[in-house]
Amino acid sequence: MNKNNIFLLIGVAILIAGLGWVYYAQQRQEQQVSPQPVSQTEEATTAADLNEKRVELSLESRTLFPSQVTVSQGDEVVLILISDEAGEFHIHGGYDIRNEVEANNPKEIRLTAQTAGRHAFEFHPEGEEEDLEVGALVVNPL
Amino acid sequence: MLFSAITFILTFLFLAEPVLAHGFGQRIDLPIPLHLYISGAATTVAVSFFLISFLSEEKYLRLKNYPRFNLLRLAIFKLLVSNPVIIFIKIFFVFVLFLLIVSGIIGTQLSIYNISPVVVWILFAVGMVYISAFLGNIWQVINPWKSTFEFIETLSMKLFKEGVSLNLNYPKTWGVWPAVVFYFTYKWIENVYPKSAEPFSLSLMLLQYSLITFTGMFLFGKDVWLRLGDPFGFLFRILSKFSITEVKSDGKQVNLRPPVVGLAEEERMGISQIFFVLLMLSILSFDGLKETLIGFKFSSFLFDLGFNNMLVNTAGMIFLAMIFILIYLLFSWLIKKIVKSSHSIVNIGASFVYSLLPIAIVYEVAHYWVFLTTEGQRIFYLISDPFGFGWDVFNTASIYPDYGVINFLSLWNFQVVLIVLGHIASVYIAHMIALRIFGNSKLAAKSQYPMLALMIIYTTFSLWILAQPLVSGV
Repeated sequence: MNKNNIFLLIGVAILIAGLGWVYYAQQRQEQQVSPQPVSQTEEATTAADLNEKRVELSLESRTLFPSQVTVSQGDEVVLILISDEAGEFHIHGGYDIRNEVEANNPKEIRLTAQTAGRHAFEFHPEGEEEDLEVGALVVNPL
Repeated sequence: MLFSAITFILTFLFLAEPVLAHGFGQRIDLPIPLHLYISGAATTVAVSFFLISFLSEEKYLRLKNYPRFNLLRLAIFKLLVSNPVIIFIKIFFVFVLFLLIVSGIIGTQLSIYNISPVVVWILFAVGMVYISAFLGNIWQVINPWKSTFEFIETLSMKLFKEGVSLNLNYPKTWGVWPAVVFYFTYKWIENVYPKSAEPFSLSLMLLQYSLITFTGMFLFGKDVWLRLGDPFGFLFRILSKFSITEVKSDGKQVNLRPPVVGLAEEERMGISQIFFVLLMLSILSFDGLKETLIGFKFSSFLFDLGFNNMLVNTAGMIFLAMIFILIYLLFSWLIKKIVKSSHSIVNIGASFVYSLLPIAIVYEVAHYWVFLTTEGQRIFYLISDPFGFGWDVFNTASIYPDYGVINFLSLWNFQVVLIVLGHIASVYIAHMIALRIFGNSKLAAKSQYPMLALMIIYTTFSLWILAQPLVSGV
């Protein structure tokens, strides 16, 4: 067997291994995804909306927790934000939602996650010009 | 010159307050999923083996005499490059430059409502790279500084019967070092300097760049300066070697040609050329890395040690560039050893360095695609209201960016396919160069083992960056 054929064989082997792995990864992903509809129907009796996703956010000393909210495209999202400082809370990128926030007074922000992508949360403390990027809304595509 | 650039940067590093560096515009990118990253990487390796086992010498050399079609044979293209049209285009871009400078001074200081940051940091910094790499070296026609200088020169010829340039001898030892220094400064401003998107400071920077460029053209003549000293002249020219057009015989031929092949042409300019290309590659990776979780954790660690934001980012840029250059020189040395070549390491490095450009170009496209197609849309409202005064000149003032144009599922596939194609192009070009400099096909093939390894590393590294989780916030 000459050298070129050996290279060719290695190439084919790697390609097959790669494709096999992708197939396996996709299968596994589907398996992980498939149980969800069952649990959702179970929850349907308790939750008002099937796709509604409620997340509590706390902004303490200008640090947001959790700093990232991950949802799926099409989800109805309700963010409940408690901040220890008054200011404006923005969701940028594809949303451009602005909300006034009072100190220690929970603020409910509702949105439909229509645009996929990573959309920054920014906090603008009252009386300051600073724009602080404190986290992001990550909307995974369907 | 190097000294003045360094003092310029150091002044900012230690005098400026630690302001939160804010990249201009919003990036809504999502990392590519793991299975796509792995399959992309596997395909890259597999394709590499296919290339070295399948392609024979003649197949590589066939593209040396690639097909060309002179566009000047088409009446419509002839009209497009006729004097009146070219003069109109040049005047238009001089007007754009003037508008950008004025806009920063009299317009609103809110970056996204002022035309200057959008044109400079999106349409020029990203868009011109795409245009040069895919269509050709259009910058040499539209460059407003060049046009202004040409105008002054023509005027002076008419009035005083002599040009304005001193036409001093450009020192050979300078290589493209001035371009390297100014390119680093430009990228530093883009990536690190917190006021990069403030319209007023942008106007000042445009004026400073104008002063540098006019001085360079005045001292050494416009062609020499724009070829060797000017960062954009050099950058867009080497990128256009990847494109589908070439200009030959002093503009008498504007050929359509297969893409990529221009990169195999001989052009050795020594160590400064290696520095320029690897600086470009490393800064591109740096820009990707700093938004990832790993980059973020690493810089947070340094912030905790008490270093300020600008210092960390500047050091990061320099450090990554040094690593890239060292690795590249190491692989050049490996090639020299394997082939037992009499060429110096620098000569070998300079000969092969353009073969890395395809991977860099496709990564640039993959990395900035979302940014260009979403944030770039701001130009629609800005052409109607360039200063943010509330005008509506072209009735487009209410067209805001639509972020829904991005379909991430197709985008991810597009990114991975593109990167694999770029890898193929790079391997191919490196092989053509090897055949040219080592003459015999056995040596050429041998010399390509280290190169292939380097390209696999670089391609998978680029894919890896695209697959990394991203972070925002402080």
